[in-house]
Amino acid sequence: MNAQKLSLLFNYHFDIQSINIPFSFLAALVGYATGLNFLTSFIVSLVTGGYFLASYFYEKRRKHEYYFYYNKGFTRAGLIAYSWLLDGLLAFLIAIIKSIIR
Amino acid sequence: MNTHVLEADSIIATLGGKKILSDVYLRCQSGEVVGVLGRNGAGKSTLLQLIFGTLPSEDRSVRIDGEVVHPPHLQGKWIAYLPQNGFLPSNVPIGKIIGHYVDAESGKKIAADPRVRPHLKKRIRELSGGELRYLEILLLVNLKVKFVLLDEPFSGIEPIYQDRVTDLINEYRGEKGFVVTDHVYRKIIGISDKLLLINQGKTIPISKPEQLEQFSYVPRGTFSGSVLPKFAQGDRLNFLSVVEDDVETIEEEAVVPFEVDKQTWKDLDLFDQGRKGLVFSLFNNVKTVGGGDRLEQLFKSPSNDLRVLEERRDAIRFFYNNGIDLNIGRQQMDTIEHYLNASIPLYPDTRMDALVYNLRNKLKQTNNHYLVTIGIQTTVSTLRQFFRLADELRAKGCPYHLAAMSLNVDELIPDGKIRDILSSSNTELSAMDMSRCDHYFRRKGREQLRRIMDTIYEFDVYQAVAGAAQKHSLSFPEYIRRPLPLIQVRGLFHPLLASPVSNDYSIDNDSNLCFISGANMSGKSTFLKAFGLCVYLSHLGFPVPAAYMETTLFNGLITTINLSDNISQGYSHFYNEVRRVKDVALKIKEKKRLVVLFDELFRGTNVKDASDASLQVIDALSRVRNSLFLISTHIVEIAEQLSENKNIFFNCFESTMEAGVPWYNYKIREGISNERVGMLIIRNEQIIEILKEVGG
Repeated sequence: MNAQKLSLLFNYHFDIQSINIPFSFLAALVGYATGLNFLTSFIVSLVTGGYFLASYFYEKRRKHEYYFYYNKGFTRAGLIAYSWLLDGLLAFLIAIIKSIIR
Repeated sequence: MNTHVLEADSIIATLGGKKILSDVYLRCQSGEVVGVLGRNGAGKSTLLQLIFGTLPSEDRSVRIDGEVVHPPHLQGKWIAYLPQNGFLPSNVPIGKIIGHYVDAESGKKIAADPRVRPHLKKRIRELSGGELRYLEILLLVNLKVKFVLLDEPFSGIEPIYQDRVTDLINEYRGEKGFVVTDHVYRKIIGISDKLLLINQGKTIPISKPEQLEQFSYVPRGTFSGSVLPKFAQGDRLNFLSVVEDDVETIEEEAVVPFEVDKQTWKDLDLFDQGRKGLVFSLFNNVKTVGGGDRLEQLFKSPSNDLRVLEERRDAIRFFYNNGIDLNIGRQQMDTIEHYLNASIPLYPDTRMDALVYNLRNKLKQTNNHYLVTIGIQTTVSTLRQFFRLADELRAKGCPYHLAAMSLNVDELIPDGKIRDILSSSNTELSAMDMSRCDHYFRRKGREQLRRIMDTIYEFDVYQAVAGAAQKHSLSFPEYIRRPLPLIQVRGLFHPLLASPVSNDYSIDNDSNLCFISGANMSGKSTFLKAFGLCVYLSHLGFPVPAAYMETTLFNGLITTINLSDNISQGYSHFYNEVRRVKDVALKIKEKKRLVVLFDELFRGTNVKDASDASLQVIDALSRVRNSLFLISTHIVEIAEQLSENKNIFFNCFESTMEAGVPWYNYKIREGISNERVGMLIIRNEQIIEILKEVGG
């Protein structure tokens, strides 16, 4: 994957994150209020509910923008998978940092 | 440059259970522009998306240079696609989009483009429709793909940007193949090397523009009336300029108005009592209030524009022959009018707000919500009904005028989401659909909706007039193209009579003045009124009270049948008559072609003056050969002197006496009637006896 394609992928990823992170933060707060660990709740939401919701809203509100990526050879499944893997990586990094801090 | 060939066939596509594409073959090679035309819902966008691979299909075969290529390998490498609704991300600056999208060299070239350079720091939402479309296409043509599919590149953008998009396609057509679809068919025809029409799921190669008329894609006469250069298969179909020139020529033709005044309306019983005028009422069987207004407007606007009259006549005749029923009622249209004119806030436009608003009103409905909901639902169902009717009209081979109107209606709602709602059979609209429709109907598409409603009202008028033609045995006039005046009618009758007697009658420039005589009550005035009605209605494009009528077109109709004095202005009956004759003389002097009807000319003065004046005026009028005159009179003594004038011919109505009672057959015949039954009628009514009794 060349640099241009990578920047496009990050562009898509940031769009997804603009919904995923605030939602996951909210979910973490709710989790914390109910006695769960804040960071664990955040990580879980980031790769599950938060990501699902973010993808859903992107699909509903900005569906036409997928053509921006199709014209560069991306598929929808590919974009979602790459972006989810990046979130997984982020979650993994947070988990490592959390374990080091502890 | 390597030449590549894109081929697509074996495509089957269904939408909502309906097969929209079934027999498709499309071929495009590098350096070629293939134009794809088709009505809304024909499957143009579907075809492009199927080729591009973003729409799943039961069956599809897309080949590049003869090799089948599957979608993931087409996108980005072989084909780029411009969707109808744009595709650029809204949150990224334009300069950055260019950097993301094309190689460095192309990026510099795009950034240096004078139409893009001022906007590099802006975001997409800050661009106008034309600027955005131009940028999108500029980006796509700079991708390293071999084919570009453009879905509606011209729709909804200002003409100057349409030209820029055309220039862009022409600039890059040397290195890529283009498949372009749009409703702006003149642009498509202008840039295409090959043209395809999607009709009933099939792609039909169009080799002559007239074929587009045969498939009712464009109104009859759009191309067939113009002189077009021949073009062979493979040549560019660049006949646009010729067509546009032709249109300009038509628009330049001046139309002299048809003059008529209130006295004539009164004489012919058209609007004597406002909108409840007797003859107007015969036609006023419209179903909607707007239809009534439109009928009144048409009724008060006679014309001598042959094209307008023929179009209207043919449209009404089509309704008459095919028994077309509009099926749209007064209550429906009143509801829509009330909804559009009510000052109620718009439906919330975000999904969440719309849902909350909807839920809140489900618990306790507000008056505003009720009005808006009913308004939207009625508008949607009415538009669905009307679009079906428009399709039905075209399927039945309706005449030019109706085809043009129904096609215009079809094009008036270009918004894809609203069209989806209108083409769906789902009667329950979601909160978001309600919101979309409300915002479109009352804001963005308000003007378009108004035009569609005007078309519905116009169709209502056609249906009402066709119904009147059937009910009252009216016939459709034929218009003759000749410089000198002529009117021929067979079976002429007055439509307000319960048992009318019909007459055949003819008048032309060789014998342009008819001297009509006959006893009192023999039918002279009724005949003049019936004849006047025929002339007037034929200049509306409406059916006439006759079995057959052919006529040339005139510049006006003047009648003097029920003329009275004018107390407010201090004019006596005679002076009013004189003024009327003078008015006719002045209008004739302006070289106008008139039909003039006088009933009992100069009856408001003494016999001697009436005789002298009638003799001189009739003789002078008969020499005006470009107008037609029908003059009834009781002063038959002047007939002998007038008989030497070859332009004057004499007709009369007969009466016979049976047992002291006059009998009339109301038939017009040649000759002069010397019958006098005035005193007899007075005697039969015993007026003298009554007065003698009173006087002792």
